[in-house]
Amino acid sequence: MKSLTIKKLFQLHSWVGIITGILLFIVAFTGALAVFSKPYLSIWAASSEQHVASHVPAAKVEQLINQYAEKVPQEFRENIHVYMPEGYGYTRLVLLYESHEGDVNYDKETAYVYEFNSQTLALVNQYYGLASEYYQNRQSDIGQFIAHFHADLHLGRPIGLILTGFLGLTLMVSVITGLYIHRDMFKQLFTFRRNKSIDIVAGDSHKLFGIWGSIFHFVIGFTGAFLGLATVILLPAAAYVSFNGDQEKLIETFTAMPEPVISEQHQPTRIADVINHTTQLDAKAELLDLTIMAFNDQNAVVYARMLGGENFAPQILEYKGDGTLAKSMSSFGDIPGPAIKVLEWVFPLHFGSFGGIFVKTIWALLGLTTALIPLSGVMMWLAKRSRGQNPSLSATSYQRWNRFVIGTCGGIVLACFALFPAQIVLNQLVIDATQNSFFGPIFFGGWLFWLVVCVFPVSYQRLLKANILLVALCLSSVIPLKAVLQPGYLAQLLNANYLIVSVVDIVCFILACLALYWFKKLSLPVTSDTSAYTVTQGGSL
Amino acid sequence: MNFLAFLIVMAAMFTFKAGLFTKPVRVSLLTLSAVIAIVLMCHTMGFATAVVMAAALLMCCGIAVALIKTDR
Repeated sequence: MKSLTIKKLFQLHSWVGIITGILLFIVAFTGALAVFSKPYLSIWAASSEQHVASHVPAAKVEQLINQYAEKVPQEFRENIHVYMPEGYGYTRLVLLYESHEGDVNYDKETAYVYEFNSQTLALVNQYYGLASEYYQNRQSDIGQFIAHFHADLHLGRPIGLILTGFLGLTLMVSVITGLYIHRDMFKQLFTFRRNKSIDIVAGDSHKLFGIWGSIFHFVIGFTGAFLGLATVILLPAAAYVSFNGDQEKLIETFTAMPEPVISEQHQPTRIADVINHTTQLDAKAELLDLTIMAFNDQNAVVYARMLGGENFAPQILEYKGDGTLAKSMSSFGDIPGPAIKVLEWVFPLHFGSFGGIFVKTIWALLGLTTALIPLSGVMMWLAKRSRGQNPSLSATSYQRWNRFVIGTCGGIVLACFALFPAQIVLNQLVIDATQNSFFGPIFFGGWLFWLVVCVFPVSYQRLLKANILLVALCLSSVIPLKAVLQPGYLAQLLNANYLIVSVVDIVCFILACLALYWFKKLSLPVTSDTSAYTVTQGGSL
Repeated sequence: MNFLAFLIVMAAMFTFKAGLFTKPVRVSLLTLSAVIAIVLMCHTMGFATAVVMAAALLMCCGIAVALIKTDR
């Protein structure tokens, strides 16, 4: 390729990176944490001495559905949603009896909802009202808060989604241009000079993470752009092209669950058989929820939503009321064609939700490298401009820019980890959904606090050390806080039911130790080392 | 099986990093390790899942090995 073209691509790579770098770090870092939000962080956040999300036997689920169906009016038995406690985003067993036409009090979708402690099966919460309000006002947790922030930066829709979707596109541009301008790839694949100056370490890690993870970064960029832009741009565009602008008709076409005709002939719906059959079919797949239509009618249909196991993409199993499997299909219904296959793959590829905790861990680690690439790129860009005989950045400006990077990027790391001890304290002091209003002030307050601290003219190296120490303090406070606030916590650590909770606690402790190690290792240089930084052609910003 | 696949890929990466054998042999070893990883993973999951997982594993191992200090 001509050197002029490489130079242009290099400039494009630099400017795209410098404009979107910090925002990309924020989205990618929260994304790496959000990978664990459902179900692991949700289970961790909802655990207490009285409750931890546990498996509920199929027979018990069927018994409860029948028992509470007797308590709701007939029209609410036509559509029953069962959310499993170990599924995505639910830590209790939730039975939701819904009437699409509403009732005497409401003219929209109305629901009776019953929430059960998954261990004791005691009724812990019930709701009657608009179904949409139930979903909107459900109790949230730090995992869901971080995942929501990752999706739209809490800017609301469509602005937030368009912004994150656009960031996905810029990530793809950076990956493609980055691969073109790095011509000595094989050498850079294993070049990491740990003992050199911080600028060389940043440069090496930028190239190393960028080249090794290029496929992952591209896939995350593409799927992120799709998820961000699909609902606000692609869906209206598709509806305009194929359905004369009717979006509801388009969604109906892709809805996998058509409602059956009610025969008025009584026949018990064998829900326990359905649940047991899903386990027999694929023991490793997770049953997320059930949708039961025309309950206890001869024409009853049960849809079971499955995730993981043998299948890469989420799957819906359709059962007849007598518990026999009618067919299996994708979550977009029984529609053939390669486009549907691509759509199916977008979700698991972005969320890493297809191979259990092993894949989620890999996704989180690679996601962290996606976050570190723009950060190291910005560091290289700043360092390059502060060196030489005629630097375009003065020493003061260089300090200010670095403080800004630590304030924004370090601030988001601090804000995320401050939520962990906050969740433990909130679980003791604030009941149920009232907690939702506390996450925002804690998160954004913590971030703003650190940004303000970084405004003061303190050496950026000192700020970085202080940032790491604060992160270590937040993470190391998790276990002591639980030990003080939760009676019998130490016994829970060894309880098999609390395995996920214990693992999250221990991981917090390990991360705190790592942060303390970096805090001790990070030295405060008296003068900056400028001689060690070298720029290779096309190899750095 | 997943852990075994992980070990095989890591071993192939180390031959790369340590500069053992000639370049074609190193590339062949890496390719072979990826194929073995996919085959091993196919025992516990579907083919598509295994391929995607092996690719992700390869990237992760590559970064890990590059970051680990090795004396040439």
